[in-house]
Amino acid sequence: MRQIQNMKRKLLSHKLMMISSSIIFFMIVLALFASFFAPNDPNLVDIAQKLHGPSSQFPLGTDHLGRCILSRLIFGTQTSLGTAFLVMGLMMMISISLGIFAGYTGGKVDYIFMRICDILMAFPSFLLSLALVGILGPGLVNLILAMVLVQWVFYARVIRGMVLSVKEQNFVLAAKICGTPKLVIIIKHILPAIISQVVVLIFMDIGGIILAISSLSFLGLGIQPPEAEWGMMINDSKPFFRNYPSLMLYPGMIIFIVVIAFNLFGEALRDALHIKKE
Amino acid sequence: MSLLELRAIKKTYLLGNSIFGKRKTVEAVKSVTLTLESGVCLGIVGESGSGKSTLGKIILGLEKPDQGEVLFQGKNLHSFKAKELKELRRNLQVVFQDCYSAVNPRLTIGEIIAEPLRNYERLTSSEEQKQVQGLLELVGLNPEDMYRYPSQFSGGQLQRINIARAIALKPKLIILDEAVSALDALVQVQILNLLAQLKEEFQLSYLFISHDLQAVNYIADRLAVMCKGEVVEWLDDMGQLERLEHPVSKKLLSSVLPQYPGFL
Repeated sequence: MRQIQNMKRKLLSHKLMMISSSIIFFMIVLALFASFFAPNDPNLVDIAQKLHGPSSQFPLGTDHLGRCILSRLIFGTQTSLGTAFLVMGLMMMISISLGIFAGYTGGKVDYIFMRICDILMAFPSFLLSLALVGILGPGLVNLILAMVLVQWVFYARVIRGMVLSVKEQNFVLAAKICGTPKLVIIIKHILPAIISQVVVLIFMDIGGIILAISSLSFLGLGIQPPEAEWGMMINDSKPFFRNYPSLMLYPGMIIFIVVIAFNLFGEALRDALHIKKE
Repeated sequence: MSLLELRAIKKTYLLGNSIFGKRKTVEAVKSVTLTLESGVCLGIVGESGSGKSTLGKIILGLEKPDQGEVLFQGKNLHSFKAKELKELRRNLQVVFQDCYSAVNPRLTIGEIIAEPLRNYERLTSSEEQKQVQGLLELVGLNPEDMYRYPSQFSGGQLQRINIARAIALKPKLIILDEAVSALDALVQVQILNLLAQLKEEFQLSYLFISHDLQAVNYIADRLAVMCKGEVVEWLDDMGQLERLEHPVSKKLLSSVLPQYPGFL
């Protein structure tokens, strides 16, 4: 009975994995070949065509400036996903190197590092990025900067914890004793031991980052018009929500689907790796 | 000049992390002075918590003693710069108790055994392969095993692999930190025989840390009994085990002998 349940769970997680990964794959393809998939120019303003319903020319209709919603959604994939991946990549570069450095060095370095983390983590992170973008001024580069500068602490702390648990294992001690240099120990023994957990962490959290980028853009602090972005599309459609709810619905739905897909993918990945470990 | 000399080693650990008041301390090693001659196997026995493993870590340079000095080949191990320490360490290797966690599960046996060789000797890959295969044969394993992973081996085989890594650089001294305690009795004897044979072949010295007097008796030439961070009793001749007087020694002795009197 338990075996059947286990099988079911495995299959379910497999199914989830299939569905979520195909959504993610589809979105990435969409982002990479946006100009091929989009039926119209996403930034072409045509006031005469404004707020139209779905038609053969505009499959999802047009917004208040007469721009094709479907094209804007497709080009929004490019900005949203691209920015999220960029933010995650930069963040991981900082937090992996600092986390490993602090965790492996230990002692005073680690203590000071942890106190800096404590200070930064005392502020709500979204509010802090909001304030930072406010100071730096709106814009894509500043948005990325603000998110990376605020959120790297969380990952650095988690990675430091992983390093601490690996560092005390005998094979690391044995490597130290047989004369392996620090950098080689880190690259050969510590990094491979934590990398799968880090990958899970990345996929579990990238949904949150997409959400944060969209939120900041919704507030007008991120990507600037006329560039298409989902959060900004929701913001643009605010005044017309009563009469044209679909304007808000489409970008909202797509954010929802992408974030859910990434979260489920992360979870399925975690399960799969756990099963492997056992 | 003796190979290893410990002079009044003291190590205290701080417990907890309180900002206020004095922290609690544990004296793991109080004052240990001992010498180890070249080619000798010194057994250090004691109950758990007697500080013998801490002593091993200090000798390996993994922990710094609060007081006292460790002289290895006449040089102070803890006052060295990293580079000189590396040269000194070449002659000082270790075999841990837990053979499973002492090998990186993601590397092949060949990579594991070649690690010390890569750090100290510039070998071509064919020379390295030859050496690794030679080492595997030396510890009684199949040369083909170098392409397999640790999860495919049993505890006794893994301990052989650990030993192969430890002797790869032909060190002077190997610390055996409970090296056979986790293995079953039959495998223990095999490993101890292997260690004895390697000692003869390469003129190794061992520092055999264990709580198991029976295993120590099998291989050691001399014996030091530790209790609460101090060496409480010495024995220069293993034939006179029954002469041990300290209550801890008696306790350790009685935990071995009654089962099969005369078995040793």
